[in-house]
Amino acid sequence: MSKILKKDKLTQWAKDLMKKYTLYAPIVKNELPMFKQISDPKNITLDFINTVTSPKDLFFKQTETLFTFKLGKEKDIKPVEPSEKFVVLGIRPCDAKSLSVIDDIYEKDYVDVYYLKRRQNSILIGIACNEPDLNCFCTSVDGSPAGTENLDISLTDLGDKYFIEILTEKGQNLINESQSLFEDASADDEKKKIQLQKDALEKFVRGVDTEGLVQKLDKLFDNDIWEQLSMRCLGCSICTYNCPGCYCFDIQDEVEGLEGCRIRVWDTCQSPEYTLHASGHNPRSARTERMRNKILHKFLYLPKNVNMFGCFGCGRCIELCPENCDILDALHKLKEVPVNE
Amino acid sequence: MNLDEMKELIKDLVAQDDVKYAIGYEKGTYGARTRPSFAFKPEGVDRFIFNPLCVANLATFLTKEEKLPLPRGQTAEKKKIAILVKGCDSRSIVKLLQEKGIERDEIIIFGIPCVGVIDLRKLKKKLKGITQVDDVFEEDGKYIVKSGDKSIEIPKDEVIANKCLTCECPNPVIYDHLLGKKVKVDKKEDYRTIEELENMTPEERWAFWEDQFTECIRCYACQNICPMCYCPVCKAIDLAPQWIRRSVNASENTAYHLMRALHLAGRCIACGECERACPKGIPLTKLYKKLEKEVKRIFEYVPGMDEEDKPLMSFFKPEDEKIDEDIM
Repeated sequence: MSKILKKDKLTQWAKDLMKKYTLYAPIVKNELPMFKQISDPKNITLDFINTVTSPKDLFFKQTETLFTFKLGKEKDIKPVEPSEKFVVLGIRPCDAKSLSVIDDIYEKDYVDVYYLKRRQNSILIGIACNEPDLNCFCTSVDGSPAGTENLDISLTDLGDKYFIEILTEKGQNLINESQSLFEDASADDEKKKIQLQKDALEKFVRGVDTEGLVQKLDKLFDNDIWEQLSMRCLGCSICTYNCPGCYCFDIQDEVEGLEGCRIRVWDTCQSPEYTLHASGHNPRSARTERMRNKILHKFLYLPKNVNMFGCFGCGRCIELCPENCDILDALHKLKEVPVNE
Repeated sequence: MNLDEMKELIKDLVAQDDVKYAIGYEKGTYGARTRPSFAFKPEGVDRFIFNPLCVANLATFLTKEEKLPLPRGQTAEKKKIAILVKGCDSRSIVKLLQEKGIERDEIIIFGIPCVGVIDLRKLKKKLKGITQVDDVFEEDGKYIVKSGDKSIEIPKDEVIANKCLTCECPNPVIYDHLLGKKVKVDKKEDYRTIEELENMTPEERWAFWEDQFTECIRCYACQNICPMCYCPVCKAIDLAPQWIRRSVNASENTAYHLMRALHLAGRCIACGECERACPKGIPLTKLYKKLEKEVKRIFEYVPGMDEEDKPLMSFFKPEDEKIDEDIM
């Protein structure tokens, strides 16, 4: 049974959630919406297009302490395991969907307790997009502005209230805990929600037709076009660090005196160090090669290996790139390259 | 010279054998965005535009070109690059010349007198629901945004980039060709953007920056976009020796930003690109404005104004003795 939450009761719901869980939700800082741990529920804003950086950091921490240790005779290695139970309120469908690709990496071959514990210990309350942004293109990469993948509860903004869809048992329990705040949704509410979702689909401006894209990219590794595409790339990692589907990391030991810890930090294929060999040779020494890797990883290697795109159409890389390196523009140009069969 | 004449001249240059390409601006891929444009052939110059949305400092690209190691005995071919620069951008060229980061005979400079550029983040808020921008120009203290048959007026001071509010150098300080006429400069030293921070107690100021630097995700966009950050490997990122840890937290992030700031003392030319690039909106130009003020006060030095000046940290004047009192 779907529910309704009046907007003026959102703060109360957040308060309820905070009694049992750590709550993460979007707030505005530096005039930009970003996910933060909530201490005052009044700061929460659900009136945003999308957070400036992706919420992947809540699960796949930028800096993760794997264990602490002491040097010398004592050694004393202490594993660190995340135990926090938390709720993410206001995650967008593209960002929630992106967790699927990270799940795939961290569940297979080597089971990563740090990431998976966080996934298990978290409850995701998504909010459907009624107003996609100019650079949103989730519909091109198997997503939807009302997608529910990986969500426990999905909200839709109906103006003065939220339509609440309960998707999992975890979600149901959460609703039960604050039962008095919710009303049952009427058939009219349901109708309105469906209409809003339909309308949202009409509002997409940009996108790319991915039909045949994988087969095409497979033939373009050695093409000259990459140079042209990467001329204005600065080589920073705005695109990868803010991408909800990028999951690469580096491991470092950080020691002070006799005590230290082993940490895992985000890494980026856009940095030359990422592929630097101990010999000094670098197979991806130029930005051209690094940008090619980023695009091919998301639109060729992942579709071939795990049958999903590594891109979820959130548009952050396009929005944030200071020099307008635009992945949609790149894909359009790549599709037009003539290839000799 | 007007824009069309300038484009014709650039076309002629690009057609020459000794000119590699020209760097200008073109329409971006969406909305109001513009982007750097590289013209290798005369027809590429047709894409060039200039309007208040052309915010990028193109001088960054002069040191971005990747030079692969050459076989022994071979020397790199010397070809010129033609480049468009606004007032602030031209100062980074002067700085690069002083530091021998580039050579004068390798660049052809097209100077553009500038009366301010637009902050895209500010503009986006004003253009809700508008997906296409055809042209933007300035008229009587307003920006006119043309979108299809619509025309939107926005007061200039509501969307102008912060760096332009206190700009003292709207005219290019170095150029081979000038677009239009120089603009009248009536601005004096203006530190209003840092007044609030200067009036804080050291504890308050520390808290302010700690709060801001906590936001940093160390994507290094600020240094990659900086025309003055052109070391092949940044000492802040290097692992041998490692000066700054890879942990992303308030302490290491602060170390990174302060290290970068000190390396830019007497070198930062206030193009504001670091702040524009920052995905988290960290007000980096406030940090650099203060640096500019202190360098001016202690050393009476303004970076990037005259090609004949020496880099600040490479010479000593007897009068500099007074810095002891200032710093100690």
